[in-house]
Amino acid sequence: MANKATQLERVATIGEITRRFPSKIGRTGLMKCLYFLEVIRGVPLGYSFRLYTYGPFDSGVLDDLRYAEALDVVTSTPVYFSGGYGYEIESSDRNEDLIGRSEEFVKKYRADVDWVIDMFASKSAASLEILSTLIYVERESREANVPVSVEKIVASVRDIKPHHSEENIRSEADWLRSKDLLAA
Amino acid sequence: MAIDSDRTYEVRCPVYGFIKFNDWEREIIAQRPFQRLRRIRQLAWTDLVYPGAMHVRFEHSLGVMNMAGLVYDGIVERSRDVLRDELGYNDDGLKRHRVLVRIAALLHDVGHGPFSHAAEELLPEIPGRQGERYKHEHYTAEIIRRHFRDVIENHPANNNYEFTADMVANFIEGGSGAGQATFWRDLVSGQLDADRMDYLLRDSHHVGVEYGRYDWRRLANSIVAVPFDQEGPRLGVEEGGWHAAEGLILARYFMFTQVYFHKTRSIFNHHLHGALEDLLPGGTFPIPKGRKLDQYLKWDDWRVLGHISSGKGGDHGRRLAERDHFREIRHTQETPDETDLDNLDEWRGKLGELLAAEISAEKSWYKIGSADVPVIADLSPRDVKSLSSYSSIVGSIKPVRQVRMYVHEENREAAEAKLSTA
Repeated sequence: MANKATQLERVATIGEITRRFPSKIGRTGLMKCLYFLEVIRGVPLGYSFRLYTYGPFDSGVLDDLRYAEALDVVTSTPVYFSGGYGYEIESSDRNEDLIGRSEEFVKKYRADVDWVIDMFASKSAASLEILSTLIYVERESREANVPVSVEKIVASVRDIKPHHSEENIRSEADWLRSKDLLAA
Repeated sequence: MAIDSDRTYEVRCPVYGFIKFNDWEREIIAQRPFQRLRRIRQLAWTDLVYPGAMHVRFEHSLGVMNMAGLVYDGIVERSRDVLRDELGYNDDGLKRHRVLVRIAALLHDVGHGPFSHAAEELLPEIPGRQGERYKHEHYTAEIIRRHFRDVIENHPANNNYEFTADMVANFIEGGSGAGQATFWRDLVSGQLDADRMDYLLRDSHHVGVEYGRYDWRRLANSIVAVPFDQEGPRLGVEEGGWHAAEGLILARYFMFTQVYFHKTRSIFNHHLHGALEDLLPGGTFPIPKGRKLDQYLKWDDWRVLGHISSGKGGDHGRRLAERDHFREIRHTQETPDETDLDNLDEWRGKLGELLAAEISAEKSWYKIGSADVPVIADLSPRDVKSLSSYSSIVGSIKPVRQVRMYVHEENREAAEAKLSTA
């Protein structure tokens, strides 16, 4: 059984994702990438994601992000657009030094970080919220040994996120199935 | 015929004056697992530092229910259009989920072990989850499913709502079964939740400090459903209330540094951990399943105090009884920088076996948290920005990750001598 990551290893993982991400990553992108790393790839980050209307969330991720900012591993810049705001997170001066402090951990899970970036870097924040919620609902059913169909998962997600259309949620579910990430 | 719960009762509350509840909520409060919260102190052994801190989870739970209802009503009053247009709510739906939110808020802490969060690290590991331990929320959810099912599902008032115990449990533990009500989870467990809105005020009152006070009436009257174009609405505040939200964030910071992560309070949590490890069969609490859950419910402060009073609990139990705690020898800055991280390694190496305990703020349940509260402008075009873009103070608060190191009192001089060597 793998040991849970230390806080420095989690900060280094945030630094590594940010450094390797092909563009500036947002907070939602970071939150969901860490979720996928933990639950799909089994990286023992030690977060406890719970379901909110905006998808699986752990405030510990934001705490670690703030600590990463305090250590000058990453910088966050707010960006504003019509009908909302977000953040652009970039690798900063001390990133490589901090990653060096957790080199073994980062090296061990580098392929998983590459995988999560390849798979999800092109997705929007809204799409990542739906994708992660679909995975959350399916995993929950699997852990409870309750058989569940894709129709039921889509209906559950629609119930939680009524501002998204059923077609949209279904389309994201189909994408996950095409990548073998949704077994139902 | 369905019977609505319109008869109200009230109890005195040091924070709100009175807390009102209906017949159904009264029945829930009367259940034994809820009454057990009278025997679980809110702040563990904090009274050994702040003598007034003797309050219990019972009054906090009533307070969270009260606060959640107040905030819910305010949100509905100010955000009815958003709730209707974006989330499909009608008046019946809003009334229904108000009832659910209050019940969930009332029950959100029934899974706590003796002395609240101080015992949390002794909850057992979840099978097949890579060393992840159960949290008190898992116990809360199972206790609701097993012990509150009847009073939730079969109370006459439920004919109006058809709630299930699973729905309440899912709402609290973050399961998908809460459905549309998931939107309101932030009100019970989120950045602007009724839980912390209540405990900051209540803890301040009992501890006797001013650090946790903020303008809660203004804040409760400022929280709204903020529309986000793509992601959908989420809870935030109106522009006129951002100073009240700022006050809440600052209250959390002050309470954390002055009370929750106080050096002596922290080491007594360590001693409690040690004493409980000695008292519990196998060193951990029973799992939240079947009859083991009933065994868990038998653990409360009274039982632990009884054991400690009769000389059990090992050296840590004795230390609790005699207020004989380990002494702090070094600590890092509140937010350790790289020099601090190097210092920690050096101190560990020099102290060796003299290091009796190392306590990190990172592992504390009471975190300051990184606030990302949306604020919606009062004037057109009603832009939405983060609270940290309004408040330079909030934007500057760093997470507290302080680490404290302790030694036995009799080893203090020897430890200082070792630490001062080159």
